[in-house]
Amino acid sequence: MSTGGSHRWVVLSPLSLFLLAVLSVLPLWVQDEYLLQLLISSLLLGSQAMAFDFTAGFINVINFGFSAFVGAGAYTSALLVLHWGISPWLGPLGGAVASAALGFFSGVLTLRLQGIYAAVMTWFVGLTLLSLTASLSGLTRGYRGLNVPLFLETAARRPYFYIIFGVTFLTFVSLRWTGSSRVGLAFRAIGQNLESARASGVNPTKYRVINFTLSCAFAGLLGGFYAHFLGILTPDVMHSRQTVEVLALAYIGGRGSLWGGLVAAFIFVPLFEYLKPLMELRLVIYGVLLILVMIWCPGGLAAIYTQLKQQVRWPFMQR
Amino acid sequence: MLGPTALWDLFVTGIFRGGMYALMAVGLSLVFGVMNIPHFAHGEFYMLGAYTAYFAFAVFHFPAFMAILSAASMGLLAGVLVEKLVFYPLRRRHPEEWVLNTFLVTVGLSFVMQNAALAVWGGQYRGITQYWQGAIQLGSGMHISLDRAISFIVAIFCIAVLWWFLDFTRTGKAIRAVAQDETGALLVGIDLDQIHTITFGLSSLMAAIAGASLLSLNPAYPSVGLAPLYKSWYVVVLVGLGNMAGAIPGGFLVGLLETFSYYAFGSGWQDVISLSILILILLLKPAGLFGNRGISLSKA
Amino acid sequence: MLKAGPLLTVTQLESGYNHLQILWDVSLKVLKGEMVALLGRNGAGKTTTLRTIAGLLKPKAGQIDFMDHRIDGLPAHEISRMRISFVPENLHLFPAMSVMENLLLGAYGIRDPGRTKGSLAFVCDTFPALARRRKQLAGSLSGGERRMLALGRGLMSQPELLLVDEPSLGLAPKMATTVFDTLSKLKLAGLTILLVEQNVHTTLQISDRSYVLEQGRIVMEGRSKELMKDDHVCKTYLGSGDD
Repeated sequence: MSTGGSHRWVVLSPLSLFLLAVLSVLPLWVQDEYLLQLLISSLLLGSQAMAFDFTAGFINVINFGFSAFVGAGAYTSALLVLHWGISPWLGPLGGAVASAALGFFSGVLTLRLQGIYAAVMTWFVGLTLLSLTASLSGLTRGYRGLNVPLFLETAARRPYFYIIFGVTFLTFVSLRWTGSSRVGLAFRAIGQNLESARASGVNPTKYRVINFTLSCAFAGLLGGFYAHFLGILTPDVMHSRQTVEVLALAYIGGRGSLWGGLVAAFIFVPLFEYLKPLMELRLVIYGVLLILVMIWCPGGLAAIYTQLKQQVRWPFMQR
Repeated sequence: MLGPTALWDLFVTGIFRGGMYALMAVGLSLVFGVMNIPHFAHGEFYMLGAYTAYFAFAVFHFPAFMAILSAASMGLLAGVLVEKLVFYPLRRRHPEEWVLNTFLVTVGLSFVMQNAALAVWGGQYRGITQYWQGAIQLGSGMHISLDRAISFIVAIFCIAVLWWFLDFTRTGKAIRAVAQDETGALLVGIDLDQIHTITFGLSSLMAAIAGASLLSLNPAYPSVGLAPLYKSWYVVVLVGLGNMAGAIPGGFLVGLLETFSYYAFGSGWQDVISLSILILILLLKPAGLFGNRGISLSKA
Repeated sequence: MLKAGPLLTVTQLESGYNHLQILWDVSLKVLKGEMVALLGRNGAGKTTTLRTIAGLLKPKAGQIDFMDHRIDGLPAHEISRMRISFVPENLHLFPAMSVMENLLLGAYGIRDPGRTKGSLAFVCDTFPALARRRKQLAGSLSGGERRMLALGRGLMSQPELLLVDEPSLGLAPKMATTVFDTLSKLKLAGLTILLVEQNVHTTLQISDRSYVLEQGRIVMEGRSKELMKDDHVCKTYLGSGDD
């Protein structure tokens, strides 16, 4: 991962471009609706993991209310479409704006807090959003569930794959680009050592709020797409359980790598689907993997990849 | 407008709730104070205690107190095991960024325990009608079931025993020493690994007792620990992370606050309001209402 | 001087923090009943030497032997239980406990109540000020009293070897004199002491032998009385009047 100070307009490595290209043409061969559904699930979870990692891996703040921001985007988008008749294609933008505003607000709330205190604050903000959503049942229908208009009339999965693929691509490129820009450098500086970052002229306040706002904007955008893909919303989408799943993918993938979470999603989501007996134990395995990664391999898959890269010099990786 | 008897009834209900919150919060506080672990899986040991007591009481027909005792032993055993299998190797390998990393590890642990319970025991509620038959009548005419009264006494008793243990025994003093200065503890010959294991075991034991003694009010199911977890975190953030003595009045305070706001606003909004209060406190006094210990431990 | 085998032998020790090596090839011996001083500038590696002997730092290479046991690499609490007491510069007291509790924790490794009582009597005798304040919290003591308490806590385990780091740091001259007198008395009572101290003049007066550390290496050793007359020592450490 480059931490160069200059803007790099080409932010994707040849390998990731190649993999994304493969992914984009995959549905042309894959006819199986079920398989497509799996790919979509992987994309949705993986892109959430990237947006989460943008805060956890860069400024070293765990946004433990992450799913609440995803949910806020989903509900905003759904309600805009339902009540104001906006097209589902524009709804997620509204969701992104709403979550960005909430993210800005939470960023300001957590400003003075360090480490675990910041995580606890975001957790409580998330819980508050969840209880609010459940309580405002006149608007959200609470746990009875909110029916959301879909993007398309069709039940075919392939168009949806391309919609979600597009959003994932957008998320990846924008986060990657920001991450390798000067702003990203400032993020990493305050993530590593707040005080020395301040001493070298980086304004932690400003960059923490920027980071939170951006990460939550993408959470909201993804939430919006999720809503119009799934068709039904309950306050459970905002539950800490969802956050933990995203968090586990991000950390197993490798904190601070962005792509790690996406790769982890593409490994584990299909794996669990295909190993039916494991399906019941899916969350247990996520938990065990998270613990194992924290103890034995804190860099996750990304660190393993870096090690491999150093040992094996593949021809297409040389500059 | 509330009359004096209704007020008194609400007050008693709040105090009774608060005893259990205090017991959970003291354990959470102990683990943070001594081991610097923000324990997110504390509720899972409550759940384990509830299940153990259920099987002991309803399936194996143990007497009530024996059921609670077996839950306590199970909590202790599970706590010791988890410390040895998870935190001990983590401390050996990556002592840096300890607070945040252990937080993530306990998040994983909570996931593992909750979903393992779901896989093993299924999602259904396993409850009992009561341990002890009967109720006691308070002066106002309000009845309180014997179970609730005894669970309150159990909570107070456990806290008192813990206090005695920490104050007067050699190991208890060593635990406090580790909380106050780890290097100092090493220098006088205290084995940190041993103290950490004991501490985590004790805190898990107390959570399991809480789960067991409330079984007739909250049946055992995989995510039953979630509410006690939230409540104990609420208390601990309110009084300041690692402030053990504060966790006791904090528990009662939260019990009262909850009872009164439930009465005033109803269940859904009560959460929103109490959480907003907490966010405000975290914002204005990050070290908690009483004291400033937590901040010095938050270097992560 | 007592004629006896070395109590502590440090051989070719290399140590430091993570990737920063501070000690290079440090060898020294402390005989039973001796008071040995480590001299040197700030950052020369004096504290690192003591911390490594006490087990708070793992040595990168070399060997440490204490009373026929190899102790390098052992965890600090085990070294403490082998009767090596380390009184660090920043004390590491238990601030929210009383003076009495701090002292009793000093005897944590001794499970025999009779012996604990004996040490307590000895410590209270040596530091009467502590006895008077035994119910006060350690965190509320003055700087001098805290240093006394740390020394007292270190003595509670009835150590064979006392490692003392900068005992006079931050103390008023009168208090510092008391500390040095106490150390001399302890030495007379038979305690072996390895001392690190800024105040080179006094240290050379009260110690039997000294080692001079420069940039993590031992550059000189000898009887303290002789070192006092040495040109290099005079110029570098006694030159502008340390007192």
